[in-house]
Amino acid sequence: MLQIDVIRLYKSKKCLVIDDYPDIRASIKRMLAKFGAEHVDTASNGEEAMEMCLRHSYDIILADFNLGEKKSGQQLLEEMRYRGLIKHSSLYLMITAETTRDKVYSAIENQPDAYIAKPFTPPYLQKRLDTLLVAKNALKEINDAADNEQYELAIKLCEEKIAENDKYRTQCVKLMGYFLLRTKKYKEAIALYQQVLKERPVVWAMIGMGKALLGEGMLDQSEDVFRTLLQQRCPCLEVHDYLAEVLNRKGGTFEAQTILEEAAELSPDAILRQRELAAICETNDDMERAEKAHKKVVKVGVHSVYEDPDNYFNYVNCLNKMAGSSSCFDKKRYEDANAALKRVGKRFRKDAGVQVRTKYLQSETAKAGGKDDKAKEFLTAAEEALIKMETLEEIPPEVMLNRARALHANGQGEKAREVLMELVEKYSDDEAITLAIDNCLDEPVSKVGKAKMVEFNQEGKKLFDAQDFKGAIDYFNKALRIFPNHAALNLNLAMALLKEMSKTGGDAIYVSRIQRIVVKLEHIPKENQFYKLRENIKQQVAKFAE
Amino acid sequence: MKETNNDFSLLLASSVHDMKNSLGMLLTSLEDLMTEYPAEDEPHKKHYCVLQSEASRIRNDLIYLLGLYRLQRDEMPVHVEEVYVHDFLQQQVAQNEVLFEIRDISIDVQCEENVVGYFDEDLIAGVLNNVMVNGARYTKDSIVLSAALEDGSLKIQVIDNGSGYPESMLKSSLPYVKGIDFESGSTSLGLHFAAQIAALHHKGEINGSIEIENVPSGGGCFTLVLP
Repeated sequence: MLQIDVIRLYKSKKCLVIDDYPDIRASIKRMLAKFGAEHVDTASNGEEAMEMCLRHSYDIILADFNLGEKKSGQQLLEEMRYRGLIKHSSLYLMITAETTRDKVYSAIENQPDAYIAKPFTPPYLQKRLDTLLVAKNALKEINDAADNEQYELAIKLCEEKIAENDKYRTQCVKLMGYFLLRTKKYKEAIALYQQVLKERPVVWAMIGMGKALLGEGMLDQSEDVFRTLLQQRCPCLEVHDYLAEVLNRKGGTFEAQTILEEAAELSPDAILRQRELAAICETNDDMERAEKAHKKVVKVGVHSVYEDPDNYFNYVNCLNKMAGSSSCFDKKRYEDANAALKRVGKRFRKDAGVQVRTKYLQSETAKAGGKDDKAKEFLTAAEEALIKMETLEEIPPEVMLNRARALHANGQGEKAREVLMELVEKYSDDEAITLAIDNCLDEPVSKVGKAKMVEFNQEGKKLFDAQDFKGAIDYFNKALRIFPNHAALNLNLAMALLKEMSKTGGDAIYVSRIQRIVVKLEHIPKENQFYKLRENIKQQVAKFAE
Repeated sequence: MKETNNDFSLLLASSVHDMKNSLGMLLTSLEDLMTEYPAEDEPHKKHYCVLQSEASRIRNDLIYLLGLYRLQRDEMPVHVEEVYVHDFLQQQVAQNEVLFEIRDISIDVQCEENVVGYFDEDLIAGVLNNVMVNGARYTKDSIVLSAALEDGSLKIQVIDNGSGYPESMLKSSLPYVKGIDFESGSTSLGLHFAAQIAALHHKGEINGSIEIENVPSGGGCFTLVLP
C-alpha cells in the first residue's frame, strides 16, 4: 500500500487509547498521530472508556489488558460487545504486558482482533495496524451485515468469500461458524467445523464444534470435545462453562460445580460464571458455596453492565434459606440480607416492582431472623405498596411470587396458595414461570409441573429397578433442579447415592450431599410418611462418614 | 532441601523477570534517545550500536532463561494459531527496524502472500528475534528472511552475509540439550531455547526443529522447520 494511501486510511479513523499510565497513553497517541490519525482520544480506565464509547463510535481501540483495580481490558471488551458499543468493523487491540500468557482465549465474540505485547516499536505497531485494517476492509461487507444483525446475509457473503479462496478464507470460515451458531443452525455448524478439524485440530474449531453439538442436543459428543480441550489445557475458560452446562443438563451437577469453581478461581470477576455457579451450588444444596458466589455477583455487578436487581434478590433468598435450616440465629447473615435489600432499594429507586419485591423480602428476612412483629409490619407495607402499584401498571409475575412466599412465611399459607394458583392460571402457557412457581412449593401445582413429577417418579423407579444407581443419581439431580424442595425426590437422590456407595465404596462428595438432604428435611414431623425414611438414611450415611 | 531449591529457583525466576523488564525500559529509553539525538559521526554511531546490542543481548538471554525455566516446569503452554507468515515476518522486521538502520543493514523478506503457518506466534517471534539480533551483530550488511512451505511443513530461514557460524557451533549435535559451549559465547543459550521451542510444535509424529549451517558465500544460515 502506498504511503499516501496508508495515511489516508488513518486520517478518517477515530481512535481510542485506554491505559492507566498517562505516559503510555501519550506515547501511543503520538505514535498514532505519526501514522496520520487525526482523532485520538484517551481514557484511563474502563468506566471512562465506556462513557466515551457511548458518545462516539471508535474505529480503532487500543486497550491495555491491565487497567488497574477495576475492569480489565478483556472485561471491558466483553461488556462493550454485550452492549453493542463495538462494531464488527472496528478494531480492538489488546496490549499485553508479557510476551507470554496474558492471553485469555475466549469466545470469538469476546476476542480482541489482535494482541500486542509490550514493549513494541512504532514501526511494529504500524505494521500490525496496517495488516489489520486491510483485513477489516476486505471483509467490510460481512462485518457491516453482522453489525446490522443481518446474519443470513452475512452467512451468504462468507460463503462467497470462502469460495474465492484468498488470504482471508480461514477468517471467513471462523466468522461463518460464529454466525451459524448465533442463528442456531447447529447442523450446518457441525458440518463446517468438521471440515476444519479434518485438517487440523485447531482450538477455535473444537470449541465451535462443542457448542454446535451442545446446541443440537448431542450431549455425550459435546462432553467429549470439551473434556479433550480441558485435558489439553486450553487457555479458554469458556470451555469450563460449556462443559459445566453439558454436565448440568446430563445431571452431573456435582462435577459441574467443581468445574465452575475451578474457572471461578482463575477468573473471579466473571460475573456470569459466578451466577451460574451460585445456581448450581443451590441445585446441589451447597448453600455456603452459593452464598460466596452470590456475594461476588452483587459486588462485581455494581460496576458492570450485568447489574440487576435479581442479583440482590437471589443473594437474599440464599441467605434466608440458610437461616431456615440452621438451628441457631446467624446475626451476620441477617445483617447481610438486610444490607443487600437496602442497597437494591436505593439503586433501583424508580422501579416500582423492585420496591415492592424488596418489602416482601424484608418481611421474609425478618421472619427468618425471628423478628415476627417486624415481619408483619413489612408485609403490611408491601401489601399497601402493591395496591398502589396495581393502579399504575401491570404487575410482573416475579412480584407476585415474592408476595406468595412472604405470605407463606408469615403463616398465611392459604392466601399464598391462592396467589400462586392465580399465577398458574394466568401464565399457563409460560413454562418458565409455571416451573418457577412449582419451585417455591413442596408439591407442584401446575399441570406441567404435575406431569413432570409423574415422569420423574416413573423414570426414577425404572432406574432403581435396573440397579442403575449412577443413572438414578444423575436423573434425580436433574429433577431437583426443577423441584428442589420436593421431599420424595430428595430422599430418592439420597437413597441412590447410598446404594451407589454400597457398590463402589464411600465418596466424600456423596456423603456431604446426603447430609445436606438430611438437614434440609429436618422439618418433617414424626407423623409424616417420609420421617422413618429420613431417619434411616441419616443412620446409613453415618456409617460412610466414618 | 527440595523446598529451599524450589524457593530459590522461584526467587531466581522473579529476579530474572524483574531484570528483563528493567532492560526493556532501558532499551526504550535508548531508542528515544537515538531518535532525539541522532548519531553525528561514526564513533557516536558505534557507541549507540554497542549500547543497544549489548542491552538487547542481555535482555534476550534473560527471556530465554525464563523460558527454559518454564519449559522445565512444564509451565509453557503452547498456543498454536494460524499465522499469515508474510505479515508475521514483516512485523518482526519492523520490531527490529532501529537495530538494522543504525548498522546500515538491508533486510529482505522473501515470502509469498498466502503462505500460512500453524505455530505459537509469541514463542516463534521470540526465536526469530534472537536470530535477527545475532544476525545483525555478525552480518556484513544484509539479512534475508525467507519462508516457504516444503513437504507440508513451514521452513523459515535467516541468512546473513557475515563470516558464518564458527566450527565449534556447527560441530555440536542437535538438539542442543547437552551443555553450553562457553567459548562461543552465550548465543548457544538462544539456540538451545529455539530448539526446545521448535520441538514443542508437532503434527502427528513430526516435531519442529532447527538447523544452523554456513552458506557457500560464507554467511550463516539459520533454518527453522515447523510442521
